[in-house]
Amino acid sequence: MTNLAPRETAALAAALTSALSPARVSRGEAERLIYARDMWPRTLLALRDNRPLVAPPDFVVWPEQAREIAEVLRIAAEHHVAVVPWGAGSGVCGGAMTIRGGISLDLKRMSAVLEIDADDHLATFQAGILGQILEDQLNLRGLTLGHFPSSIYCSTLGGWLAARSAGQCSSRYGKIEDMVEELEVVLGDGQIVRCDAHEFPNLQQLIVGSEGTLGVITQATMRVHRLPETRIFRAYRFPRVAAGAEGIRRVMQRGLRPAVLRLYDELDSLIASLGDESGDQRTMLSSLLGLVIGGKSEEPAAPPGVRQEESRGKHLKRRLLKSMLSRAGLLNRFGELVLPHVAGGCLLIIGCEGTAALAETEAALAHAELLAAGGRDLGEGPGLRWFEHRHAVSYKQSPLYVAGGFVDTLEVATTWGRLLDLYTQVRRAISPLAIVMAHFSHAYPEGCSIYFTFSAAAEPRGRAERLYDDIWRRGLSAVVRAGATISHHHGVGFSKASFMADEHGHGIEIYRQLKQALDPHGVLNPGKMGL
Amino acid sequence: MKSDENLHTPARAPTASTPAKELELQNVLGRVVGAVHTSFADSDRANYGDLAPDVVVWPGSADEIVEVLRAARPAATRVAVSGAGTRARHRWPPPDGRLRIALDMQRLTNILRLDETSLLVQSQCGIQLRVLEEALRRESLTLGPLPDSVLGSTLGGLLADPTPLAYSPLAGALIDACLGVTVATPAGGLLETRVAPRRATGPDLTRLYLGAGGALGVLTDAVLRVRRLPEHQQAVLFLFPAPVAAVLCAREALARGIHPARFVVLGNERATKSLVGGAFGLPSGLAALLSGPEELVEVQRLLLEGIAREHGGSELPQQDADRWRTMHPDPVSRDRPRAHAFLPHGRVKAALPALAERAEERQLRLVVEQLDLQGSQVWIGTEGPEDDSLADLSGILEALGLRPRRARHGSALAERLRAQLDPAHVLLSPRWH
Repeated sequence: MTNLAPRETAALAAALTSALSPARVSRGEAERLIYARDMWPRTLLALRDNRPLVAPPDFVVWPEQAREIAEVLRIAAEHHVAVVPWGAGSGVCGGAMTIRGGISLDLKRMSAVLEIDADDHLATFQAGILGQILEDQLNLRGLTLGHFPSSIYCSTLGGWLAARSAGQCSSRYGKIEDMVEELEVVLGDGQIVRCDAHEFPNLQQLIVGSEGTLGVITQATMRVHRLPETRIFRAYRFPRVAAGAEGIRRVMQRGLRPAVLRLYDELDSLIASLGDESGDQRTMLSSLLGLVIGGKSEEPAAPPGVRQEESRGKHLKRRLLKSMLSRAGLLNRFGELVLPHVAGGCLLIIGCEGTAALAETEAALAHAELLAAGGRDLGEGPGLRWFEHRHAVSYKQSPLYVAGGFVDTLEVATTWGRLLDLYTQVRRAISPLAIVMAHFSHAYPEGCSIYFTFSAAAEPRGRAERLYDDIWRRGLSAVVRAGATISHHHGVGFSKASFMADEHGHGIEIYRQLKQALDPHGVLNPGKMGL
Repeated sequence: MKSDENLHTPARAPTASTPAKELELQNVLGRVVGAVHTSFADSDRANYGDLAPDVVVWPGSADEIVEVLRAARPAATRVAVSGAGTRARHRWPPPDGRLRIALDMQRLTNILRLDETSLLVQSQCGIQLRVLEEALRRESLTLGPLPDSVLGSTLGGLLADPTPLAYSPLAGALIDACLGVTVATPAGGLLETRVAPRRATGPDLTRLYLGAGGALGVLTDAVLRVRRLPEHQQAVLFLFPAPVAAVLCAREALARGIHPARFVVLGNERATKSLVGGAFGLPSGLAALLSGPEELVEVQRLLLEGIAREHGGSELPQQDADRWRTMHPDPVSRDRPRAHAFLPHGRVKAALPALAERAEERQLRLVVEQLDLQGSQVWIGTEGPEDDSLADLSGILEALGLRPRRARHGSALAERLRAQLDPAHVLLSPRWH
């Protein structure tokens, strides 16, 4: 499916306009560019070089009801064009890109709160509702979903479900797939169905995570909780990653359910300490690093395309940062040797919440476990600071791109028995090419997720994308060799599609059969998920 | 059980009248699983109720099951999986002229791997849960709080056909503890889902097969989350003036974060007498088995005590709570007819008093269990005359608008998936007709 010829465009425009309304169908240049990509970092590299990666959609449409979506899918099948569902476009795997043109189906006009039932602890929303708005509506009634991805301001319920997302409190409340009671979905052939969490076989858990390849989620009934009476934070310093990971395992396997449990490796702990003004986290090394990559800008950045004379200080910082990024292997090796001795070890943050008496008891029990694992108590300060800024980190990546680098994240998961090997193997695979750090979060009694952040020089231009691809290929190959899953919560989209056969083995054939059954015309988000 | 005489007796010798199809099948199955594990004997075939198989096979590995399914497709043969309970109990689809193979899992009973670091066990699906639980307990581990009736199932049987009984507020549903499966598919492949605590790599293919009644694939082994044996447990028992108050108390406890290993509302005096062994003057009770670190158990107990008082409940002495814990029976006797339905919390005040009244009229025990934040399962069971039937009990619940959260195996969408995954309809299931 490619961008359409003029006669085909006219026919499709007429059909879509008739099904929706002229105001809700657009072929405008601006819309087509915006909806051509999501927040996949590789597309940022292409944009920086003024090269669009993909074929923008031929149309953007805004349905208001499930039956309109059904009609759009019928039209798409008739005209042999792709349909790509769109929430808020904040996915980081290219899942919402229109790689074959077609129709971008924006759900944001389907964003109503349909029902909140405090007796049954259930709430029903249309799928286009933004995450923070959903949470605010629940909070008004003393309730919470318990789902706090860092993208909560710019992601939708439908997007969460489509990607199997996780929030920062998943250790207590679960991932999004644990929270859903019922879905309404429009399948690829236009059939509108409801999938219940209790029916067998569990069709709902086939739709969840399918990233718009099997159906378009239009509304969901979610299980909700009372707002916690209290939150208790505490932080600990561990000498090594292994000790901190053991501490997390002890806490989770004792049956405790803290909402937050995060362990930063040495470099990530150092970066995390940059924002700490109190001094107990500050080291000389973190002060130096803060000069280079942290802190506030002394002057506003110029708009894109406008040359602005840099201050000498800013110029030096940028040069130093680029220099560091282009010597990633050396810096990683230096870090491995030096950081354990000068940077103060690994930071662990724990947050317990709920009924006051239970949260306090849980916090006390966790405290004992973490001390027994070798942790040193740092009090509540770092945890409170993390909580205050917990959504901010995703918005701090721009300076690296401006400085001529790129940054991306690789979030994987495995069982406790394989966790440290996974950490070591991925680091070993990526560290010759990029500065890499990691934190451990989304903990379970049986295992944990590791969230790697890597950064490298994006210049010289033209080579950056090859470097980016090489890093991902090495990283995911290491994940597969370590027996782990290639994604814990960001999803697969386009970026990891080539590894789906490794992830699923014979299961990829089963997935293709599901696709054939539920989307027989193949209109839904083609080219994604390795299908 | 496989007849002893067939352990060493190969399939019956062919005669002039033995159909060619059957002969061919006999040869193929003998090559795949071994003649000694293949039987056409009437005495073996009679053990499978109205499945009425033409042949019984006892495969010894997942690969053998794959080969049986591969052999079945071109032969237009149907294969039905049988564990401990399916042999005679279920109603199978009527014969359709195709040969039927009963695939008996009783040789697939090995525990393959125990990962004590990750608290995971991988076991073949023919193992009885009681045997698995005993093996785990020897390592100070457990599948979690499960009633005795569930422990009699095989692992594969429970995963293919879940029961609401295999649930506790503390551990969740046993089916949710399954993190990975190996499945022999109707197409003749072997699917092994990758084990990770959670994933975001597309549809959850493990969930495709759990609860599918063996119609989409044959579960050969599974990886389950296990738990450490509880550090401390304490039973508590409260009496309430009415079952509504007891259920609302339980709901409030769950909402405040108390998750007992077992939580039972004794809906009427008959239930209280039967399950606690005494009459206490108030019609309803709430029994809870709190489990975990001692400090946490104590805090939960104090909180629960306070919530019970808020709802008009009074605590019974520890010896009565301990007696309930010791008896620890199923909600109602497994051997007597019983029916269950899902009761949303929002309907408790409207439906439960009426149900309690009907239970008294009909001399039924009323129990509410498997509580979560959304609702609970109500169970009614007879102690009356033997002619009370399950349909009659279900009718009492339906009259009040209460229905089970039943499987929708026959839904149009499920059938569409089945047609795609098993176009030749090789797999037979008692749940799909």
